[in-house]
Amino acid sequence: MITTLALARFRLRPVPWGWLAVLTAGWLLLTELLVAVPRDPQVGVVVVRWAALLLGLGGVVLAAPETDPPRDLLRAVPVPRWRTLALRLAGWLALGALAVLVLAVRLDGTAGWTAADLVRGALPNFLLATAAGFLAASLTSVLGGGAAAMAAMMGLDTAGRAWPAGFPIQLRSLPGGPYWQVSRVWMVGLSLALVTVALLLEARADTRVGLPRRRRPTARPSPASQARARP
Amino acid sequence: MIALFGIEARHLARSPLLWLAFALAAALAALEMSWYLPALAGDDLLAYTSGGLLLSGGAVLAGAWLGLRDRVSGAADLVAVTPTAPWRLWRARLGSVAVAAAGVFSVGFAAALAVSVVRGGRGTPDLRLLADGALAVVLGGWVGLAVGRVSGSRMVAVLAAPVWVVLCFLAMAGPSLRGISLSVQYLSPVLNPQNRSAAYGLLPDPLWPHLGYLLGLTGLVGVLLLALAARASSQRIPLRLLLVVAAAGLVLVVTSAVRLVALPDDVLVLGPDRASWQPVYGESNPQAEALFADPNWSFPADDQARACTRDAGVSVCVYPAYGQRLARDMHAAIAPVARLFTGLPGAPTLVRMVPVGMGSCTNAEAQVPEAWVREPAGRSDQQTRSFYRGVYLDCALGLHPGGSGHLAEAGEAVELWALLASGEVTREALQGMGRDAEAGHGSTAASVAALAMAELPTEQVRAELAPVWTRLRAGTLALAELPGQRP
Repeated sequence: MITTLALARFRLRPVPWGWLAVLTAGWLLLTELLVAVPRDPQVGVVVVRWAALLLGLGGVVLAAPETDPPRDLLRAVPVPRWRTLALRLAGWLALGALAVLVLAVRLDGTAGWTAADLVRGALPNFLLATAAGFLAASLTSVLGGGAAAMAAMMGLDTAGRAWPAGFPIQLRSLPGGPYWQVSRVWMVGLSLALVTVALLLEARADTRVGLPRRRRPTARPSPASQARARP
Repeated sequence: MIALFGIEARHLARSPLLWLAFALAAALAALEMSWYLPALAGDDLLAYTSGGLLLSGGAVLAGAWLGLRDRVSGAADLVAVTPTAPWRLWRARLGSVAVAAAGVFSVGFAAALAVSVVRGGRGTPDLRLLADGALAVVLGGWVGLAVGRVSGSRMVAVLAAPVWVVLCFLAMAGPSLRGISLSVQYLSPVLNPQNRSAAYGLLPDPLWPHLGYLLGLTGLVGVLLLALAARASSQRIPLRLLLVVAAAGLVLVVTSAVRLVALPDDVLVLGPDRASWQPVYGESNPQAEALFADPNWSFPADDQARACTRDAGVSVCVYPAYGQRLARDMHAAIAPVARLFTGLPGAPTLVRMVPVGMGSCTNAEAQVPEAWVREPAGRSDQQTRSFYRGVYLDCALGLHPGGSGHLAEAGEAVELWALLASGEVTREALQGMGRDAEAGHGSTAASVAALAMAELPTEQVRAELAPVWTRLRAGTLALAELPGQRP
């Protein structure tokens, strides 16, 4: 148990979690303040949804080369690095999702949006931005990943506006609208695909470094154990 | 120094961050432009707003990367011991960011105008928008430099760009913010003017004071960065020059900001004479709405709509910025129905583009507000033609185009007959409309009456309509009194 915890801490440690927690808390407070600023509550909802995209940018530090400078060294340790990244991602998603949930509960009823609608409207945005940033940062850097994630979001928004009937991801869709459900499904699906690609690429990189594959323990005793068994 | 400047400028010009923003800005500008009729005096604003905001965000990122580079690459110590004074190095960097940022914006702006020309846009673009957008992007780049230099954090650098864009957005949304009565929207580094006429320009026009405001802000950020660089060095900086630039920047920012926030949110052009223009504060102006709803109000003659297409029945005149093609298209849609009503009292002989209003109809002139025509977003060609015809027909049949009234049944029947007789609607379609009407949409009687009128020769219908025309326009004519109706 202690070994597992120590290992988890080792995997999580290089990421500035304290900084990310402060960022998330600051995001929560600032977004709540900004929502109250526009006269039209609908604009407040738009602010929440775009703020969720912004929060997702925090995901770029999880996999960026700058976070683990000796990447090749880490790739050579027995535990595959993709598991480290997956663990970090899970931690960040939990942190970010918690902030989105708290915000949604606090803003329940804004412009007729229930907390559940707000969660459905903002959480996929957060997830997609995180996934895009996670993949892009693992291939480039914190700055490159952040820029690519932002560009992807802007690109998706522009594509959604250009093809309002044909493009599956509509960042501006509204609850009850024809593309609301489909958009949510596509965004979650695309996020999962991006994360899977990032982890697969990392797993392949592990293999290229020459990491010995872990073998399952076999029923047949090894020669060493046989030797010890001898009287 | 020049070599250093050249190296940094080339480096930045190859920055994927800046070009990523450029690609997005180009896509957004292309999308926005596709929603509007092409006009150089209009597309320049679209290129400015969509390009300016995204490119300034990209410039923040690229600048932040440059500000961080020494620290990230481990060259900070090396740079510190070179004989070149750090402030000179930073001066070269500021210059390179300025050249690259302004260059990228200029390329985008020129490309947008070229596309507009190819699509048929005419008129004179406002080159102050180019200067303003370039300055806004330069300011973004310099702010990014400052963020990278001061924070030294990659994450802060990443977040700086969206925060910058969000701040610009919030400032742009000035009139819709709670508790703010000043026009703070003009303090955003990138403007988002809502009212632009191809003939009357930006309403109101904040560009001159905004240019001063941006120039002052850029100067202040530049001075701040040079002072920061000089602080860590023993080599002297021309302090007097810096102080002069800082003081001039501050004066420019304050005086320009005061002028900007005093501007109205909108200006209502009620005639060619500037004295008649009314400032609008807030989102709506009840006075203007009341004025436009008045059926007797019309925009005075201003000789601005000079691109005309005419025949014996009707002339269509639009602003030259939209080109002769728009006048031809509108005329082609209107002429077939106009021929049927030529000579009848009150039937428009001129359809003229005006900058404001809800459409008006006086003295045989139908006025079409520029915004209605310029924004065909979401309308098919068929719908656009139908819209042009509608402006004429409403006017001819005595309906105030912007009003909330409806045609009387007789007026509706004559409208349907005109569409049928001009070949815009087929008999089958009209019979289908009759069936729809039975299901609750529109009037069956009007469709039946229109079909009965269509049985007669067009000239006979015209001749029989002439004596009852005034009553028809007044809405007092009964359906049974129309030509071809059985008693």
